[in-house]
Order: sequence, then C-alpha cells, then structure tokens
Amino acid sequence: MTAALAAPLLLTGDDPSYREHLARYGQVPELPHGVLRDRARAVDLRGRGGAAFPAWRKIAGTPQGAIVVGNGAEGEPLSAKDRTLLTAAPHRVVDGLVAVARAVRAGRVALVAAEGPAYEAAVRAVAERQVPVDVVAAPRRFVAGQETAVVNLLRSGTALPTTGRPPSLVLNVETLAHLGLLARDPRAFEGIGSPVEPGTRLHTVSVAGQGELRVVEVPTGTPTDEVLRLAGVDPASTAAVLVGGYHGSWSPTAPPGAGVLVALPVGVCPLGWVGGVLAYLAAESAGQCGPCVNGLPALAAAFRDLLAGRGIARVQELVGLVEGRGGCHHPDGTARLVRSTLTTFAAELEAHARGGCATGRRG
Amino acid sequence: MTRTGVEPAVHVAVDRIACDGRGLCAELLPERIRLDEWGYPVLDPTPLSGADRRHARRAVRLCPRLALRLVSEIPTHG
Repeated sequence: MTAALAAPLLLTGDDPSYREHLARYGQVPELPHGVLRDRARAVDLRGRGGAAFPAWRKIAGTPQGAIVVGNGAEGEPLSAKDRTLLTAAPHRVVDGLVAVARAVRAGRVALVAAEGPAYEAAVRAVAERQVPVDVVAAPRRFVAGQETAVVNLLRSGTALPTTGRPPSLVLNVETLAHLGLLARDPRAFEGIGSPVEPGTRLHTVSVAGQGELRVVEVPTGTPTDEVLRLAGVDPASTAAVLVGGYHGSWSPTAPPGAGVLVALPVGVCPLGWVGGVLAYLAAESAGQCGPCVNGLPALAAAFRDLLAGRGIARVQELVGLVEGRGGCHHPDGTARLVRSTLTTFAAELEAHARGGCATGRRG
Repeated sequence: MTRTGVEPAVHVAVDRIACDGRGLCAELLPERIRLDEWGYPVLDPTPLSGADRRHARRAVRLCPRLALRLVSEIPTHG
C-alpha cells in the first residue's frame, strides 16, 4: 500500500511503461562525471540504503571501468520501499542507473532486485529500454542487501557478505531514482523538504506484530509522527517508534537510514517483541564469522532469560562480544538494537526483573 | 600528513570471514590477542610498539587461515 504526497517525485502513480515515461520526460541526458557528482553534492543527496553516505563522494571515488550496481535487494523484512519503487516506477531507477553508469564509464552495470514482482518489473524495464544492464534476483535473506553481498552475488551467485571486493559503485535503487531526477533537472528538488538536504524520501511504516507494510513518499525532514500519520498510524496509540528496522534504534529523531519505521502499539511489551526479532536475526547470520554465528544465538537466549527476570549483565557482555567483530554489519546492527532497547525500556526491564510486565501483556 | 623517518602506526586486524578460530594467534601474541568464549580472537586495537611488531609479524605469517594481518593507520581526510 502506498500513500500520496501532494506532489510526489517518485511514486507519481503514472503508467510504469517506458513508452509512457519517454513520452512524458524524454531521454535521460548524458552528463559528464563531474556534473552529476556536483548536482548530487549541491543537494547533499545521501544514500537511501541505510548508511546515508553522501552519494557524490561515492560517485567521485569511482574509477573508470568499475562495476555499477543498483541495489534493490532489500533484505530487511520490514522494508518494502525498494520493491514498491521498482514495481511502480522502474524507469526512474533505470534513469539513474544509466546516468551514473555513463558518467563513470562503468565496465559492467547491474540491477539487483528482490525476487518476485520487483525483479520482474526490473527485467521488463531493462528489456523495454534495451540498455546493457544485467538484472539479478536477490534471495530473501537479511544480509543479502549488504554492499559486499550484492557484489558477491554478481560475481559468484552467492548473496553473502565478503571482506574485500573489486572496484564497484553500489547505490540503493531509491538513491538512483533521485540521481535520475537530478540528471534531468538540477533544480528538481527546489523548494521541497529540508533546505540542507532537499527532495523527498521513501519510508516503510509498519505496526509491530502486524504484517502490513505501508510505503509513503514524504518531503525530507518530515517529523516521524507526521510520517506515521501519513501512513495511517495514529501516533497517540503508539508507545515507541523503532527507526531503522531490525538494526535500528528506538529514537524518533535518529537519522532515517533506509526509512524503515516500526510503531510499537501501546499495550504491547517491547521486550517480548525485540526477543522475537533477536531470534530472527540470530537465524539470519550468514554463518561465516565465529563471533556472529555463536554470539547472536547466545544473545537471543540471554535476552529471553532477561525477560524471565534473569540478569542484564550477560546480555551486556554478549553485546560487547559481537559488536565490531563480524565481516559485515549484521552483528553491529543487532548490538545497536539491543543497546537501544536496554536504555529506552529501563522501566519495562525493572518490571520483568520483579517477575511482571509493565505493559501487562507480553507482545 | 607525512612523518618522514617515522614508521606509520600499525595494529593487528583479522579477516572475520577467513578466521575459523584455530587460536594460534593468541598463543603467539598473547600481549595483544586473547580468545573469546568460543575461541575467536579479541584484538587490542591500539598501535603496536616496536618490540610487539616483530611478534605480530610472526603471528601474521603463521596464521593457518591467513586471516590475521597488520594494518597501517592511514590518516583520513575530511
């Protein structure tokens, strides 16, 4: 489900065919490396895959002949914005991919999309335009969206993170769509959103414990409560908001990262919900690094014990043992969620230590 | 930044994917490396002193998984 912005830039609801796209907007112009880089810099476009790294820096640092990858793997189960974008407006993504690939004189260009309708839409879009882009389906697993996993998928067919990789420029598909808009018009974001980082941003909003994911396009800088409201979630019945998905933190003012927001309804035990997430994250370890393989299941178990009123010390010890000790960000992101949960829900922890539950109900 | 005549600071690092917890490094470089409860190295990230460097190089050379390495601390810009 998608909700509308007064004047959306990406989710416009137009017919997704290339014929329609071409008739409406024309060909995407060919820009030199420096021009595209400077346009991205002028609006401080940040990567929308989660890390929020400045897109212009990535472009500037890319050598000629590198692999250029549009990353729509979207391994986070609470994110649907990349799939939605690829399905609803695939040519916005391909515009950006083509513009970047030409600017950096890419050696190979690929578009990685989550298996299912997004992959099918990407295949169709690339075929319609007859551009030399390899479209690859990413399996549904949590770590598949990490940059090194995406490059590894292209090289070996395995979507697992690696340490070390060939020269490559990996950009999230939403970032690419914004670059496509900038390639067409350097003033595309003028007067929209935050003055320092103008434009729009896609968010995926869900309610903890409920399956539905809602994608909204909002101006950058929109407060979290307003994003919830636009997605049809009442902030008044929300006890806390997790920003950044399963690797995120319970801070409504945290940087939005990949735009994943999870509303915890009043009356649902946050600790019970996080306990379930930790069991999932432990199972989603790529199984490559000892501290993650051993540490995440131990952390999930210690957290379960914590819910049963046992001590917090073991949880804290394990957070320290997994953080910074993996080949990818999976253990770090898991540690971030636990740390944030321990500080945000101190009252609930105390209630559990006394054998009860502050919310009355275990989520 | 250049420091003519001074060796750049180095510290030990491990390729976590290559490492399978044989534990040799902790025996060869106990002053820098201990093992966690599962047998994987916990590294001291501070720069190596001159005497430790020689031991560290030996540990790097003898790691059966070629997972241990020495990393120069290159100053970063903006």
